[in-house]
Amino acid sequence: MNPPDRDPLSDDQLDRLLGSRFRDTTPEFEARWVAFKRDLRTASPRRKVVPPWAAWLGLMSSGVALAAILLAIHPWRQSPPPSNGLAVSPALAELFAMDHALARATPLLDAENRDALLHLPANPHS
Amino acid sequence: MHSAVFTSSIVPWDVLAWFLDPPAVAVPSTNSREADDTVWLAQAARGDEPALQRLFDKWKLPLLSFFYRSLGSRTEAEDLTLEVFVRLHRSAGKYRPTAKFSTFLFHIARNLLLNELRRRQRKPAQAAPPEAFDYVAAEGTDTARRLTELEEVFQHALTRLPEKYRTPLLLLKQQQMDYAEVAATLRITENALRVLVHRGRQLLKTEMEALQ
Repeated sequence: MNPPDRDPLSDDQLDRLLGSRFRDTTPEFEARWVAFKRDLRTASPRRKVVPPWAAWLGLMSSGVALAAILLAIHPWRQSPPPSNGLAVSPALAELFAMDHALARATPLLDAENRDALLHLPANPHS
Repeated sequence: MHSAVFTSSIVPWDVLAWFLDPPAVAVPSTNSREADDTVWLAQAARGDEPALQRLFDKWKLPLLSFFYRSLGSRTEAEDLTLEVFVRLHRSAGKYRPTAKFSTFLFHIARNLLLNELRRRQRKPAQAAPPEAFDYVAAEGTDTARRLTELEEVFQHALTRLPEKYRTPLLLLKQQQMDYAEVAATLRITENALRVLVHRGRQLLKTEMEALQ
């Protein structure tokens, strides 16, 4: 059984269909529009939009500034040893006194013998 | 998807793209109807609510019809239409009439449509009845009866048509833009547009005949 013959689709019919629009909106849609307008009224009307390039520029500038500050103040460098005027524990005071006394000492061996001793193998039996 | 209107990105990328890179073949606004739109948008930017309402009243049906024909869902068409007005309102203060207002408007609309097509899951179509369309204004005539019969097949075939063919056809026929305007909206040459329109019509007719 063949399907019933249909009129071929004309260009005019296609254009009419393509050109068709809704005749009206729905009440629900209009209600949503009213709610939307109410939201717009309460929202700030002209919010500043930060373009992405400005955000990146700001981020990079902040990074560079932070790096410069860190380089300037060296928060990671070792603090100097306490001076003699500071109160330290008796054990440390003894160490500092010994260090102070030895700092001025002259080597017991002359330079040639000291170098030779320093280069002796760690294990003399090997 | 009702909440999409109020939860979308704060930054209207498509609008920014327009300002950063306006269409090369922009058609300046010349006639008074276009000038009205520009004036209303400027007034809306200053918080003039009646001006925004006038823009809405003028463009709601063209936008709704465009989105419905593209997606086959009235609910989604309504969501996207409201989203266009959200973006229009956000960008109102920065709009410069370097091109026709309708070109600007449908540039936004098309970008929203492309986003929606990329992210949407296949949803059951919420088809509008033929009585919802203006081609049945002369009810009772043979032509109206025939178009009513064709409505379902037409909408089905149109939804299946690739977007690159469908949008040019809708902008030309439904929105009654001229070739220069559509080419500016889509950022293609007029020659490329003519090829798309010719091929799109052929594909649409073939699809409709196959579905009938």
